[in-house]
Amino acid sequence: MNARKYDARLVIGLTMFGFMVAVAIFAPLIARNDPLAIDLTNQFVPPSADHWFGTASLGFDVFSRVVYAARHDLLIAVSAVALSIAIGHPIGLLVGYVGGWGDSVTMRCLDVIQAFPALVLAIGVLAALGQGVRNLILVIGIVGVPTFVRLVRAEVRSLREHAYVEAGRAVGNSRSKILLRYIAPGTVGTVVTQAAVSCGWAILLAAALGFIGLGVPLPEPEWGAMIAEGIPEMRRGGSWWIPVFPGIAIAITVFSLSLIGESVADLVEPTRRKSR
Amino acid sequence: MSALLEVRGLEVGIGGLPILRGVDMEVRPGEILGVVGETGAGKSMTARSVLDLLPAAATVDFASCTFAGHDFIPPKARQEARGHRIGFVPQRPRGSLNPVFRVGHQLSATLRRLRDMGRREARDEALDLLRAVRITDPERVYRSFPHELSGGMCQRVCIAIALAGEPELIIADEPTTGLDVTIQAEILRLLGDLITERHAAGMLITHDLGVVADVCDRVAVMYAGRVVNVGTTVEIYREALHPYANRLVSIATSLDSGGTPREIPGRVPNPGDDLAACAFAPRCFRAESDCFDREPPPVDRAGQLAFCHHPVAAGAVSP
Repeated sequence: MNARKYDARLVIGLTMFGFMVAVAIFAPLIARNDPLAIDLTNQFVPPSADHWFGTASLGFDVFSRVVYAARHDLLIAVSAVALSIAIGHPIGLLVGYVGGWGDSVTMRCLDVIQAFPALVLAIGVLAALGQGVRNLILVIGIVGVPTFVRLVRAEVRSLREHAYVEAGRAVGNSRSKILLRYIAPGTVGTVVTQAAVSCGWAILLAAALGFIGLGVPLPEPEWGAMIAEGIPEMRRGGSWWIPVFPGIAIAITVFSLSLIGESVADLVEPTRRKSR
Repeated sequence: MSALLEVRGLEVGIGGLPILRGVDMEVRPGEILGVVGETGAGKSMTARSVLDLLPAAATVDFASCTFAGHDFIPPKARQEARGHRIGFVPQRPRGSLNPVFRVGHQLSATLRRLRDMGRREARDEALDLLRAVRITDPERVYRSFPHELSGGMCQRVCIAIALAGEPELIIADEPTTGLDVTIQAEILRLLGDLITERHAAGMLITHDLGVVADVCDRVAVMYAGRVVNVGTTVEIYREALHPYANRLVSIATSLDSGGTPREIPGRVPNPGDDLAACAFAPRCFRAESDCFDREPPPVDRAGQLAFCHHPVAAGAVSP
């Protein structure tokens, strides 16, 4: 079982994600046009040698925009989800393990947060905080917290009934040791899996906010906003290249993160390795 | 001889239903006490009460409880004894090891915590403990995850963990549940040997009366939340005073000698059932009307104590 030194999923995932990160870093070298350049004579041109991914309305070069958008999107997705986990995971562990009234109060507060549609909540908070990428990350991160709290809490409540947790108590481990050494590791798998999904979701929420003018301000390139803008164009004029290429970029990002997530989860939870 | 662990009048209820109805039990220094009885008799509950490992919904009430002269009634005292003074060998060994850490890590982490050992020292001691539980390739087991080991191997590791704190008492709660029949006896003997070698005492909860005879010095027979018969293994096996214990032993021995299995008619009462004064009376072949009306008195004879109106008389043969 230890013969395999590396996990193919981790290698592929890291390669793909590394590729996206490289694209973001070296955007000025990769993109052949200014992503903000307007060229009214070349609107809605299909992919060609000059415009690899075609052009959108106002003659924006889709390739350059997809490349530059990686800067915003990777930053927003990863930081926002990291923020959600940083807040949600510890809270979930604590309320799941301790229970009691603290648990009830926390969960009811989360109910209130979740009762608002994520978009409405984000609009409200952004209106209060003001626009900008930093606030966007903050808002998307906070909106994602309840998901992680619920997930971890549910996991903790099932894990704490396990025989090995009782056995851990029987050899005199303190409550905090039980939580950190016996229960917390078992929650990492689900959190990491959810994180990959949440990254995709964060990009889409950023897009939705961008669409109503609260996200990355237009005309700055952003994948979600490009899709939102491109779908009507595709319906009207058949210019499929406008939404498809940013869509592929999102798919690659989310897929690579989920590959990484899966294999990290297996490293942390060795029992999962056997099952595949 | 004063007892190492002495429990008097232990009552445990869950959700208002009485599970233990006044358990008296003692474990003397250096001895291994076997606790036998059918499922639901309260064997595990008794052991768990001593370590304060009962479910949160349980209510626990001791008349008295002492361990090596210390008052053991405050839950705090019982919690602090976990690992240090009382080792616990669980049921279902594989499920009782943390699935996310290597076995060696779990063992050495326990050693470092319980005995303030350094990293290297704990590793050496862990390997020694694995050798002590007769694991032939301790280095490999040390590096394994629980799911890579067999059930028997996991139980050896659990025993090693229970020994890690050099406890004075080891409580084993049906330590062979779910193991291959072929290694059940082996594990129990190993446990017995280790307890004796280390001058500790043991409380061994089991269904296996054959192994009790092998390993235990004294036996306590439980029925419906009480100890009904307790005595030296020899006496209990030769002639248990209590009809229930007597019947259990004769069934076990007739199975051993290839006889046809016989059963005790009736069934074990559920918690909350209306019980006769002697809970066993409805199933008892010696029961008379007083068994249903008056609490059975203690009968103390030749090294055993039973609670019965009509104990099995010396020389009588149970039908």
